[in-house]
Amino acid sequence: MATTLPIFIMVALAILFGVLVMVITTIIGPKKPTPEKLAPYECGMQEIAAPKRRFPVKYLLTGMLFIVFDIEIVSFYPLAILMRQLKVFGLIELLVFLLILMVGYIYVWRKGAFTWE
Amino acid sequence: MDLATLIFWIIAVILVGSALMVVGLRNIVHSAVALILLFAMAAGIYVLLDAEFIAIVQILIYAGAVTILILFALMLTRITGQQSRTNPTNKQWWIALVICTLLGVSIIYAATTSPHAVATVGSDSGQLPAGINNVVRIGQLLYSPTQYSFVLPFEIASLVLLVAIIGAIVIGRED
Repeated sequence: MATTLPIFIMVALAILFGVLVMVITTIIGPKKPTPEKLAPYECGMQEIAAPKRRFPVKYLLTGMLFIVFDIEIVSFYPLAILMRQLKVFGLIELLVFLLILMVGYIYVWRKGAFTWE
Repeated sequence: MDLATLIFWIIAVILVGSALMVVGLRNIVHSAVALILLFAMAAGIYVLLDAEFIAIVQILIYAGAVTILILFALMLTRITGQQSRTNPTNKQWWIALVICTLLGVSIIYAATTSPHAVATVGSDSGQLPAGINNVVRIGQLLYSPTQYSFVLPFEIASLVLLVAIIGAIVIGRED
């Protein structure tokens, strides 16, 4: 607990800062609302229709690939901490793990899943 | 009440509150956003328990990736038509109440009476040696070649991820 206490203090300070900035700007900021300012998108193209249609499945595909590579990265955390103790063996472990995943990575790349047509 | 207990109660209250928001909010996208808060608070509980690695995994995978995927899935399946109440109330809430009560009682019973019940804080059993934290111990178990370790299962786990990658592409792409 003693070692993790700074994390909580940090989180508390971060939340406090965010709340404080929001509160201060609402109190001291001038409020002159116009319809343009209250619109969700103040700049850019005028929206022609509400996005009623469903989103393409490409988004979900990208999300799933993101999860897979996320899990890969998470499993490297303990390995990275132990790298000095494990020396070459750790590096070989890492490379074998990466090599297997590289097959999938190249497959995804060749299939063109990273391009957004 | 010391500081750790105070932090625990703050986190616990926010956690239960956001859990209730997940099931109670009328807009299902708001529920998904409350789910992010829930996962973050659960990570806080893990940090309090000195389980740093689980906390990292909780933040990176659950709060980061899984909720994003849930949001994408909601956008994919959103019913056409502007309805704000996408998460309507269910008439079977009392069945859920009974099931939740039974589950809660059985969890409390198991946690208090089983021989694997929560180790008393401060006793030496189950404590890591000084200077070795949770992430180091997990790393030793997973990757170390000298002591008993899970090197082979770790490498095989990459095969599972490979299957997931290829499966996502095969199912998700039309061509």
